[in-house]
Amino acid sequence: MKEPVLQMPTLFYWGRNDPSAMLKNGLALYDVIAEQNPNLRMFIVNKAGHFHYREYPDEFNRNVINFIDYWTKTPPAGTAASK
Amino acid sequence: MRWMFIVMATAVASVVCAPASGQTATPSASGSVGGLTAKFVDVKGVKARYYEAGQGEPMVLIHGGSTGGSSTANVWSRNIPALSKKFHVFAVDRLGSGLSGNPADPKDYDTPGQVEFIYQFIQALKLNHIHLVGHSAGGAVALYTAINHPEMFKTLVIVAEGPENPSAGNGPTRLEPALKKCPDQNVYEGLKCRVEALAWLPTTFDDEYWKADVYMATLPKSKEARAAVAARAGDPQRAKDSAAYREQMWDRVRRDGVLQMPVLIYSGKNDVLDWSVADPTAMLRGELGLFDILATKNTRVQMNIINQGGHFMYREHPEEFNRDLIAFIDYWNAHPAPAGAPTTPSR
Repeated sequence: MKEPVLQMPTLFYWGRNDPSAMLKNGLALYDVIAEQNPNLRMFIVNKAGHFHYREYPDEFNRNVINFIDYWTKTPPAGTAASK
Repeated sequence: MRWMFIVMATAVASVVCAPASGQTATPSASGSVGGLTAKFVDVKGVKARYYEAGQGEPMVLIHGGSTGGSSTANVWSRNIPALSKKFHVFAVDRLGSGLSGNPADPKDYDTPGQVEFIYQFIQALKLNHIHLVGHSAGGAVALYTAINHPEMFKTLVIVAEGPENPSAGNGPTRLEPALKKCPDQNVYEGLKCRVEALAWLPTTFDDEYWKADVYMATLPKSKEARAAVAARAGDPQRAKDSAAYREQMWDRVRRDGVLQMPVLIYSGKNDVLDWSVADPTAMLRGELGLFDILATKNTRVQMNIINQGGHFMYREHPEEFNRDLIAFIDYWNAHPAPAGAPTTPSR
């Protein structure tokens, strides 16, 4: 993952209270990907566990749609289209 | 609280002389940039400079920086045009900053005075049900204003709220070694150098921005404000009072749960203000610590982390910031909490 292979817009969506995929692990993974991918984003949502997309489906759907809509219209940084 | 009326003689004055963005050789008298036009309103005897644009639900934007030189409402110039297509936007110079006046009592330069000024500005314009947005030190002002008057705010957005956060830990931040290369922070060149060190991308500020900035920051009233703030900085009692005020505010959130509106924390991954020199990358400990304080009794808290974004990520990635802000507010407008119901444990 330290190679610049993940250049597409990437969203980490994390539950603050996830007991398995701990937030600190998500943040550490963010650092690994962020080194090579300027188009990385992370959304952290409160009172949410591992299945946050089932716990708050409307919010999850809205955030993901917004993320995709934005990057559909915006050439990602570091790509040929953005230069 | 007593206020000093500094320059303007009229209670409300509008200055309409801003040239189009990027075409200015000299800044306008109102310090306006980006094709915007600043206005003035009297706030309890002190003039407040602000931008107003758009229609719809009110949104108040509060800039960061230290008083009287390093930041003004101009920092929002890349956001106001897009946000005003959806909201009635007000971006104000804080007390003593930009072309807003100075307080009669130097004590009011401190955070409680800044908070009261924003509250009185909102009262002067008769705003309510507001979406409140604050950056950095202005994020702290926004947070405390919302804690004092939660009924007035529909949502709260805190952007890169560094100075009032829980400590980033592990020694000095990356800003501190950068500041050693800057001129004295009591002169404009030092303040400009500090702002440049906080930006991540070279495109964050342009020539038009700096010309308006130096014009406003070198006026006698700005020098007077900086001198007054510097004179207070070394007072141990002031530091003690400031820490006690902050703890009291956090307790009202953690213990009393006064902040129940949706809150968005917006962070630049490369913000040197929340990046310890001991860490290879920014760990955002301060902003994550703030998240946990706000999240104690409020379910509706979200944090967005933007890669390749510094302390001014809303200027570095303005379209994305504007879009995220609008999406956040749209969602919660469509999903209001039941009246009187706490948001915990379910939304």
